[in-house]
Amino acid sequence: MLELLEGALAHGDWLELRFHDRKSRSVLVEDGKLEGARSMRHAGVGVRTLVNGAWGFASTSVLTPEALAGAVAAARAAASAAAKRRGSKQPRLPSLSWRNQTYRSPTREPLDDKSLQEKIELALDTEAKIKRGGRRITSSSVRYSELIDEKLIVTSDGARVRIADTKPELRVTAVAAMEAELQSCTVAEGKTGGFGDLFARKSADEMVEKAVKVATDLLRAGYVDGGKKRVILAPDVVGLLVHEAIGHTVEADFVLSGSAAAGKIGERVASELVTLCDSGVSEHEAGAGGVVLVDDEGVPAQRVEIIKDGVLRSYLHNRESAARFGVEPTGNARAFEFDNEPLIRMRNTYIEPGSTPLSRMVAETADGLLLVGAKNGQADANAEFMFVVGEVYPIKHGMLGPLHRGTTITGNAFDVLKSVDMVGDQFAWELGSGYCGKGQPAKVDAGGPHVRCTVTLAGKEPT
Amino acid sequence: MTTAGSALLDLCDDVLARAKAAGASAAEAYAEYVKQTSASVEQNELKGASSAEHAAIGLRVLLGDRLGFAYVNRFDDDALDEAIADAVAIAKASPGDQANGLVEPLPGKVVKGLWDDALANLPPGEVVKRTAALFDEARKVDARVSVDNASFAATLAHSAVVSTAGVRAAASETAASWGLFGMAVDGNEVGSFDAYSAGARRLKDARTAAGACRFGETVMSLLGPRAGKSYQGKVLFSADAFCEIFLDTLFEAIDGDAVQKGKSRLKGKLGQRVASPGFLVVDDGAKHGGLASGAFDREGLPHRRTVVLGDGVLHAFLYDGKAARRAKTRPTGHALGSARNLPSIGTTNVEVGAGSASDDELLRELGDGLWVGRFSGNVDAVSGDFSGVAKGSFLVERGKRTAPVKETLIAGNVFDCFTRVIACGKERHPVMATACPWVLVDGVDVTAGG
Repeated sequence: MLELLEGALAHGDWLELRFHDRKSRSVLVEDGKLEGARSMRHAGVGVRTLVNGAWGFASTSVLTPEALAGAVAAARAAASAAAKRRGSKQPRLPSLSWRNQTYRSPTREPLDDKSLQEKIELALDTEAKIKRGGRRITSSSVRYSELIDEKLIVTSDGARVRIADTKPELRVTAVAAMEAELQSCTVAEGKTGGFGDLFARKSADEMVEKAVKVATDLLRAGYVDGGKKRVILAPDVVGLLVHEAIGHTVEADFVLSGSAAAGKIGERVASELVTLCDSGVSEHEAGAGGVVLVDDEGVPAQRVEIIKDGVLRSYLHNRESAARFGVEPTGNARAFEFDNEPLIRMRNTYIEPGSTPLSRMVAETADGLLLVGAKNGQADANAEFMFVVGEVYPIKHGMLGPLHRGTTITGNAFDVLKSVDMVGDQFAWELGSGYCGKGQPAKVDAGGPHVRCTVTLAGKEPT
Repeated sequence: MTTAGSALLDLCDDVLARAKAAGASAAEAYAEYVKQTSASVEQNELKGASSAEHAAIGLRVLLGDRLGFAYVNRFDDDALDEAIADAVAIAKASPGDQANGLVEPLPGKVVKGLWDDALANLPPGEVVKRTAALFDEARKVDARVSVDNASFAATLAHSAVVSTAGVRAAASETAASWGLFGMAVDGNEVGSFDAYSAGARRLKDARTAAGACRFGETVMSLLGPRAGKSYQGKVLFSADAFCEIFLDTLFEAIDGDAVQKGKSRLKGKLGQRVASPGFLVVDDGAKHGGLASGAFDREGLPHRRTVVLGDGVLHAFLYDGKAARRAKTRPTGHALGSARNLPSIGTTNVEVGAGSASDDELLRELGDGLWVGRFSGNVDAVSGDFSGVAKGSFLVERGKRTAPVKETLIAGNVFDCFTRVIACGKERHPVMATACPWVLVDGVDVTAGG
């Protein structure tokens, strides 16, 4: 493959050829039936070029010198057409000292150690356990999926980088019913590595136990009132906050569009208790779902301190944006598959742990809520965010109350970070399952410790 | 039949023969070829252009009632044989299910207006020009409009599906799609972002300027937001917001598979009133020139017009072959998807019935309250509970939209709200393949933050 890609480099303009061979499998079991087991092979070469200051991209799944030459010509033609109308020209990319080697993510119990039959049985057995979770459980599903990636990146300015990693995921969903009332809970783990990584923190049985309990308990749970509240965010909700509400605003392409983080390098944007990072390596706990040892431009992925002790320190860059900002690229260029162009994306985004035990955070909260179970979230250009949380536990006079129904929280992310007055001492990666969307999916992770802050909740009076 | 369509049919025939030789008792092959030329503006600057070709095949094999599926995007002998072996191995490793099977072919009408030579042959330079024009039109509104991303794409696609049950169909279609994403930036103030997207089957219908102008006006109108007001009661939803909160949830609830599995609150309610009188929702995948129309569905069956809700009464659930076998009924032509996945149930071109009130009259009927432009939140498809932030939304005072709101949350239940629809506007707004009016709904909780 290296010979094939190098053979296509004989052109004058800057050229990048990225071979990506993705094998994936997924198994979906619902209500005792195997709804679908799928094998996928999606492989090819993405070609990117820079001609007269404009970008061109093309891709091919035909791995012959002729097909590759055709893709290079198509990318050049596209770039040339764009260059005629582009005002300011993208300058040549600054040179880099390449670390040309094979980057292989650490793996405990490789995925190949289990046969296809065993993976199907894992899903079937796990689903059967949900069904046995109680008479209120009316529907259940389990999805196991895995991505097995091999890449080779070759550029005309010297990159020769090989990448190999695997990312397994297990999602467990229980639906409980009582009269006309239906409630559901999904518990998911997504990791980089093997089965030893996937089940390092929670076994499949523990995931089932949690999903069944929450779905069942929600049937009788009340609602909390809406309004501005003092809250303790669990690590999964912290993960959503730092990914959606901060992380996207510091992606350098979004900064150039005028995001809320634009022009704020060096400014205090958070409580001094907050140090917020994005890293291609799995800090604090092995197996984070967004591990990227080297990005899709061949740049080694750095640990980036976005906010250090409350002060904004850095944006997230690819080679192009780093050149425009006059800084080093941070290894954040990522493409989902060979036929996607690399974009600036997060990897594993988190708040560094502090020193306060959760028990003390609860004990020192007179009137507040513990928010657990990040479901989804979005953020705006102005850092206003919206997250859905699945479980709400009132705290009164330092005592944790019973489960209440999930709700939506909102606020301005930087205001919320400024309101942080306690940071927990236990760390967890929690968002490794699923994907971040930005025109194309990306496997990311996020997390941190428990954090106490102030947010606005939607809600209504108990029925 | 196009040459490309014939070639894909031949490919499917070849793969089915190999699958039978590998031990499959029945099989279905779905092949696709897609070519897309696109260009993008990023961060207020034309970034570049792209030319992408994609060809792939998805193979469903059955060993009795055991099912396997494989996808591959290369057509050389080794790649095809590996995919077939994978699909057969999965079927062998899977437990049987009597609902597994293939659909029998059904006759359908010819759906016109899906192909446009002008769009199929659009050169990269013309695609770049149209992309740049999107940005220019948006910025003409005001220099404070910041376009994070704008793109225009011309796509042609050929597809074919062949099965051992007798299905054999091929089709070709074109589409243009375009959109903008961005916000207004005024000094230190960053407005709420907005996204606009649209599509057309023919180049002459790709009226991009009006949409780009609307996008520019929308993001400018969102500068200077105020705190909203908390109340419970009537809320006026734009077409975008109504689609996202209410229609998407309705479609999940009428998915025949969800109904069979007890995940739908509408189970057992066929023929019952589930929405306000007069409320109408129709799906029509056979509409001539429709953006989501097709000559056949993912299983090769013809699409058809389906009344989902008529006068507020639930008339239909949607089925693909598998869900129909479970429900002991016939598939409705709603199997969707690409070569990459097994078919799944979904809607096509959707129309919500228009009412008699103008948009201004709906605002006057609301009086004081909230107009929701966009929704950023969560809807529990099972329970119907929704809560989230009203984005791109306005305070309505004495029947007029007076100021954009910030950090304003809305919450309620979709199924309860369908029974509290007060009025629909007479003007229907396109949301990609859906035509929907503004809808005035009662019983929504509004919580103001900020």
